[in-house]
This record gives sequence, C-alpha cells and structure tokens, in this order.
Amino acid sequence: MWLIVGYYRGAHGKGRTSWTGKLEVKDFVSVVVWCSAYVQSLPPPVIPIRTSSPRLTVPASPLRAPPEGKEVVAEKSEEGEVEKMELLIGGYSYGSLIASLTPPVPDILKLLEAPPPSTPAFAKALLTAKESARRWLDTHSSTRTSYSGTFNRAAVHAALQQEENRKLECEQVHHGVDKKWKVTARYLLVSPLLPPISSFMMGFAGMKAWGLGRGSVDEEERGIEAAGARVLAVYGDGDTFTGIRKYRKWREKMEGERWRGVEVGGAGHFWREEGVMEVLVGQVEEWVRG
Amino acid sequence: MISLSVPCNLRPQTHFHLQPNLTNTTPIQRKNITHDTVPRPEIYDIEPLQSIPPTPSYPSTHTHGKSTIMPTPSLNLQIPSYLDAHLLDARVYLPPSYTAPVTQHWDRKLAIIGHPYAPLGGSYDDHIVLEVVKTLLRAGWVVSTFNFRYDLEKQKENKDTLDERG
Repeated sequence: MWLIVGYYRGAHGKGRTSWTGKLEVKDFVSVVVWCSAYVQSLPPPVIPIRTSSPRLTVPASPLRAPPEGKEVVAEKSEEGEVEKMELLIGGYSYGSLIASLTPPVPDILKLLEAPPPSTPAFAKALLTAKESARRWLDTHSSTRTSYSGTFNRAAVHAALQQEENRKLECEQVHHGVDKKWKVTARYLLVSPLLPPISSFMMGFAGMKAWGLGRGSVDEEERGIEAAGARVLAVYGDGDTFTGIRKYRKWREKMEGERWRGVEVGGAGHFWREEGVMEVLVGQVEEWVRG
Repeated sequence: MISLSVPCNLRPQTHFHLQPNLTNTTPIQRKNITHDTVPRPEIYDIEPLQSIPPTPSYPSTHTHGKSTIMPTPSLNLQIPSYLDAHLLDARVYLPPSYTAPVTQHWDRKLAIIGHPYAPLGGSYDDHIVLEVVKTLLRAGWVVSTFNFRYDLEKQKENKDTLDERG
C-alpha cells in the first residue's frame, strides 16, 4: 500500500486530478470501440458439415439461381433490421475502477460512427477491425469443403458456385455497416477499489466511481450509473485494499434489481486462498450466462 | 484455436484497398507519368504482428502450483488510442461457440476486461484476469484484454507536472 501512496503523494489531497487515470479511461474506451467494430463485423459462425444434422442442409433457395441484377434475397430481409450486441465492461482491482469510469455506452459508440478526425490512426484501425472480421471466413474455412446449417449468408457462401461466391463476398463486405445496433451494457467488478484507496489513485473521480462521492470537479457521466446497466461486484471479505465494512456499506447502498454484490468468505484481494477462485469463477459464470 | 495476427499499425501494402490516398501526387506529376506507373492508391493489409514482449505480472500471479491453462488469443494486436494514437497491446479471444460452433445461432457478446495496477506489475497476463477471460469464453463471449499505457517516462512526466504545480 505504501507504494501507491508514495507514488501518488502529489495527487492526494490536492482536490483535483486532471491527469490521474484519465488516459487509462480513454485507452479502455479505445479498445471497446475497436472490438465493437470487430465483433459487429464478424460474419455468422460456420458449422462444418460433419457436426451438423443432415436435415439442416442448405435449402433450395432463390440464391441458387440468383435473380437478375445485384439484388440478393438474403440481404433483403436485413434492411432496417436492428442487430443486438451485449457489451460487458469489466476489470479486476484497478481495472474495475477504470471500467467504472468509462462514459455511457452510447457515447462510447459514437466514436465508432465518427472517429475523431484528429487521430486518423484510430479511424484506420477501425477499418482494419471491420475488414479483418469480415475476412474471418476466408482465413479460417480453408479446410472446410462444404457447409450446412440454417439459411444464412455463411451457409450460402459455401454452397454456391465460384462466381456466385464472389457476389456474396461483396455483400459480406457490407455486413454490419448499415445496420442499426442495439447495444446493452453490463459491468463486472472483481475486487473493486473503494475509497480511500481509489481516491489515492483517481482523486475525486475515484470517489465518484462508486456513487460515493458528493459533488466533484468532474461531473462527467458514467456508463455504470446508467439506469439499464447491470452490475456484478465480487469481492473477498479479507481484502487488504478495501475493508469489508466499506464493501458492505457500499453494497447495501448500491444493491438492487440490476446491481448484484457477492461477498466471498475467506477471499483476499488476490484470490489465493483455498477454494475461493472456484467461487469467483462460479459467480461470474452464472452472471455472464444470465 | 487457430491464431490470426492482426495489427492496427497499418502499413501500405499491395492488394487490399481500404483507403486511397492520392494527395501526395500533384497534378504536374500526374501529367508526366504513364498509365502503368500511376501511383497505386495507398492500401492497407493485414500483416503479422511482431510478438509483444512478455509483461511483468501482478503479485497475484500465484497458482499454488496448479498448472494454469492459458487461453489462446485469436488476435494479438496493437490498438491505437483515439486520443493520441498511442499503441496499446491488446488481445482478442474468440469463444468456442464462434470458432467451433455447433449451432448457427450466435449472440454477439463482447467483454473487455481491465487489468490491475501496472505500477504493481498488473498486466493482461494477470492470473485473475485470465480466469475471468476463460469463464467468459466458456459462456460464449468474445473477450478482449489490453495493457494500460504505462512507462517510466510517462510516470516521470506526471511527477514533473505535479512538482511544477506543487
């Protein structure tokens, strides 16, 4: 603990932290945006034929004899369709502190639609994200000779002849681009750092992070405070960074329908104690499946 | 899991057309060149990323002698920060439900997990971060981890700023 206090001795007590952790929040946001571009552009998964049921072979469809012009039936149904994506922003210890300070998800995703012109490298990286996601099938289906499954572009992709494939590949390039996305957000906090330790690191922001700060120079909105956001906080009752009384008080204040706190008996900050990791994993798994 | 390395530090290459850039060709230059030598648009392609050196680990990297099976990232890459293009080492893990699906139904679920405090040795190699990654992968999430920016120069800079203020 002395290390942290020593390192941030200058920041603590000044009442403002214009720099602490701010860059890290933006780094976190950058990764969220890049990965969102990637995941939104991934084509649907492709099932190797041997593992799927025979009745699921590609049905006879208009695509086998594509209509005149560039109109392809498979694309038609997707116009105006809203696709869903779930986004989990989380972290362990300091990572959960930064995660909790990220802006609301709609604000984050604005960077995907309109990357800041001041950083062309980021905009280019987003293009790469989309392109490499779309090419997933090209790079990972070379050993597969045929496909089956429900009717979708991925299945059709393999079933069609060479020339038709080409047309479809062109379509795939546009996958995800013009779609509307409904993104729901949730937050996973493992052994979060509560004040005072969080304020050594983040100043007022570190107080504000958990809804514990009253008034602050920094009133930016946090995604974790959004009405629809689900939160899971898992902590040990033997945490050396944040005392159990602090955790319990916090949990009492925050817990609700969407906010769940789990206290793991016998667990420290590092989850080294016998059997506690299994509890942590079990709790997280149950929550991320729900 | 098959691994594909995709960097974001893009470099001009030859076949993959993402963003043409002809601004470096003045009209006069264009007049003097034949069709064959017209500069090709600046293009970007995927190139293998040089391996990222291992990062020190948080003190919690402690497994009680149990062998920990590390998940394999599908992508190892560097993502530029939108703020200043600072390159962040990142990993993207694709879940078995995507790479080896048994059903074509696939929910798009993306998780990004932040690591513990870098000055204390935290990184995306952290044991607990990796446990969370494995858990999410089992539940069908695409997971990304990355290293927060942290270097001694930066640390010094911050200290200097504080000293000036103080």
